[in-house]
Amino acid sequence: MHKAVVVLIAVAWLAVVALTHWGSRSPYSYGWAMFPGDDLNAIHLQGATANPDALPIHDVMLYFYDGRYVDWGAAQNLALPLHAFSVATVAGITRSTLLSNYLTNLLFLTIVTIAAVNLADRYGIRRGATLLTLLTLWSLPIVLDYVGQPLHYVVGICASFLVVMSLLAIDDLKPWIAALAVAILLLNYDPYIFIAATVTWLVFVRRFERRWHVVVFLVLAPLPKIAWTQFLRWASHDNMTTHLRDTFIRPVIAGWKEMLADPLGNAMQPFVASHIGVHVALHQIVAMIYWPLVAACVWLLFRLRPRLDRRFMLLALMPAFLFLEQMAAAAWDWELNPRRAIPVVLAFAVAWCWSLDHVWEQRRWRIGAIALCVMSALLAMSDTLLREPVMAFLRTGQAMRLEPQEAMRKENLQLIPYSMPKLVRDQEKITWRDLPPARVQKGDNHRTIFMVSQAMGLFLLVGLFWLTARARILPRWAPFGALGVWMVSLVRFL
Amino acid sequence: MRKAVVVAIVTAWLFLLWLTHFGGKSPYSYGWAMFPLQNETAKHMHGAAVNPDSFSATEVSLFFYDGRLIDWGGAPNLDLPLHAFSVATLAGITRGTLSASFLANILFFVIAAIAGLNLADRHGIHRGATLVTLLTVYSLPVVLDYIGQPLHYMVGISASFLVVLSMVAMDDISPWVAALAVSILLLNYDPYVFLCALVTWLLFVRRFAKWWHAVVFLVLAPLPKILWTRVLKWASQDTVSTMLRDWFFRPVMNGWKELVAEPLDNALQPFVASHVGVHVAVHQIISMIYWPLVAACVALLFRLRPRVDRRWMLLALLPVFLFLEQFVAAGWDWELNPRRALPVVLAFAVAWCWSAHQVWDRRWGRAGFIAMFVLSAFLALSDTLLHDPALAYLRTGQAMSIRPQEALVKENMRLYPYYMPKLVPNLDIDWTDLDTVRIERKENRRTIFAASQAVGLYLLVGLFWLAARARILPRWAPWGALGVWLVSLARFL
Repeated sequence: MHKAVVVLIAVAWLAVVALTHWGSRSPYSYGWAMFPGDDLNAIHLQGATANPDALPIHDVMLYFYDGRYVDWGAAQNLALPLHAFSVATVAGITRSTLLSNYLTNLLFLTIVTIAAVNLADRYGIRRGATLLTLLTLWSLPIVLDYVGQPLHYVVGICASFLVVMSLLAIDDLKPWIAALAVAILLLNYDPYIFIAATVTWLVFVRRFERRWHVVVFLVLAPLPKIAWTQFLRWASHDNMTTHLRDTFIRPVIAGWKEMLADPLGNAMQPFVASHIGVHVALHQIVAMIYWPLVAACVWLLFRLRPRLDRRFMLLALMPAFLFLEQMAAAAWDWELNPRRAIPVVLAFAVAWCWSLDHVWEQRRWRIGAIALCVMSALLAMSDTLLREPVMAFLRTGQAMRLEPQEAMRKENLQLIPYSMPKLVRDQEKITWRDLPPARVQKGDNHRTIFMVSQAMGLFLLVGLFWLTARARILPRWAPFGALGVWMVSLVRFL
Repeated sequence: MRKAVVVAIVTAWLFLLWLTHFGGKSPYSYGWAMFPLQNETAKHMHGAAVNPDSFSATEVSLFFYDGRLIDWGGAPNLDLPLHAFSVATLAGITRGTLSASFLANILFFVIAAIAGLNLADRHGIHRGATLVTLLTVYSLPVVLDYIGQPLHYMVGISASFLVVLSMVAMDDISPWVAALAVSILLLNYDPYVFLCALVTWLLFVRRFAKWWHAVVFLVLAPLPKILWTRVLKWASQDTVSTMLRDWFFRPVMNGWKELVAEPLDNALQPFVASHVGVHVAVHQIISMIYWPLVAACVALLFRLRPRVDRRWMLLALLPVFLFLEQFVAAGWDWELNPRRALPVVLAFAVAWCWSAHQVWDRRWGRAGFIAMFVLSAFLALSDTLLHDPALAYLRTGQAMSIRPQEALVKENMRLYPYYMPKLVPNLDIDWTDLDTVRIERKENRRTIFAASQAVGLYLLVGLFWLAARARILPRWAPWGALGVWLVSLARFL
């Protein structure tokens, strides 16, 4: 099968999923209507229904679009600028908030598709196995829930996936290249597991050639994050949001501090917290990857028992660090969001692809893999085909916290207002062209702030594509392509 | 290490656990005090604080003891007569409800340990590995929660374990022997996973020598269950308890009937129910086996990759059928009791023992297994040492259905009335409360008593005969069981 055919089929599937899951059809929009007692609900953005989180994220995108004023105290996505910068860049061409968001989501997923096909080709994986893996992977909640949302999840996930795949593919890993990879992760969405796994792998498994390489790596990697944080503090007059720190990190630290303060009085806490962590992590995994896929993958790995060389150990570290993270944090994490398991989705995808390649000659397994892919596609399309929202419930934070049987009650809901009165429809008129020509104001250091922000965005975007190009999983011209798109996007000033 | 030493150490460990976990100190008693808003709490039975379920279980034991009148509608344990019969038999000697119950608990687990040890010896397992496995398994909730309760769980569990171990150990399984094994399970506590695994294994994996053997097996196996159910219907004039059917089976059946009635409207139900099932089954497993043990066992099996031959496939089928059971039932099971995962404890024990044996000659491997036992023992004794009830919470049905973080709230509790006002302590315990037996003549009491003793004897002697035939218990084991019953007739003197 020709490479272009594989990419085309995968992208066509992505387009179908996007067409059937944008706006009000997105599980991340209609999901709110499954909880009538909850105050929050989907909102409208330029006429399309979106998750309420889309509003502050939209503000950050506009900040990157024309340097306009942003409510620093509510703009937590400034800590992960790649998504907003990328959308703003595409918006410079489309002049549309929604279109640029949806396009960026699809574009990044397509780029991951191409990178994955190239990586698989390098290892001699059969194209059929790669295609099946991609179709299965793109039927999972990481795509369904977010492909039709003006949110950072798809771009963030794709960027992390690209970084990890690049590290797997690069033969000669210099400390500054490793530092660039980690720097991108540090400024990306929910990077903790990716970072912990990557740093552990770089320092203890793959190892640098010389000791001072480690020092160079450890000094360089956090620099962009530090520089960006200091810049935001300066620009915001120290008014930057501390939402993430306050709601997610502080409670966890306070919990463990309590244990340290009275170790005998809390002697059982490590076991209880780790028990909760193991339970939550397992639940998160089956929420993010349909359980028959998890079961089949574990079974195949048990049967085939791959010999993990140093390079692929990076993927094995992903689930290991998910469990560690949840052991440390789940007991105090109010949200228990299944998205924490996203790094495991990448590990699953690679393991699944490798396993399928190994059993491809066996007809039984080939049929089984196709059947699992069809099942995944049907589950992905169940809301469209059957008007049932229950699959979306299974991957909510609420599903992690409520009694397991709540899913059976949600199974009785239908995507119609009679069954879900909070359901929000897309408005009749969706504004596909809402952005005016960009004019950066002169006062209050607006121009300096805008330019520094663009520089940081460019560093991340071009850096990411340079990394993948160096790993030879994207063409050599990929970083120039990214730079070219940004330059074209400057038409927003015309 | 001599076999007797292994058994003595294991018995001493069991005794220590009983001493630190009986009556009010049992997690299955003090557990109620962790839920201050719940109406139920531990109650006193002859001075010991016990789980409220103990009263109906003891009623059934007394029915087997002296054939006294029983509230048929409130005695679900009549469906699983082995425990009540065994306790009644021992009570005939001890003349105490509690002493007989506790003795039966310890005795059956010691017997299971002896059988496990013999089976391990047969396969050349290092005695040290067997000892560490037994001590580790006997530090799990399966022992802690029930060893100090006058309830059927330990006898039921060990009977199921003995049946499975016997089947695994037996070289030649004739259809009537297989039928005996299944008939014991059919009249035992929560047998569904064991039954499904055993019947599947007998028919499709191990297979009978001739096809008509399968027919004989399928005809004979359910006969004792059918007979006993008929006896109970007759004796109770059809007023025997239907609690199990009403509370557990009906909701599940109704749930699936809905799917059959409207398959398109409920097209996602099979996936959703199985998703709930996977989640619940995994949670049940880590509730019954401390997660570091599960993780280590999975990692070791992945590394050592045992070749599971037909014989040992029976153990692999146990977790498979747990998952299948939960796929089918968890979506509607109001209780979600982690005890459903007990069959997996047996599979874990065998896998753990085999793995320990494989790495026993490596110092680090040995140290790792010993460290795991020390961890398990510490966790087992955490309520005694630290007065912390959190571990008991993790294996409650409530922990399966409340938000996961509730465990941390419980971790702040202490086993003192200040923290847990509903805590019920032991009082002065009456160890010999039973009188000499006189069976009344009226209302067929003597016939009912004789029939009950017959079925009890069939199960008890049958179980020991099975284990003896499998050579995991001595040849005289069934005679020993019969002898104890004969001695217990002293209750009439």
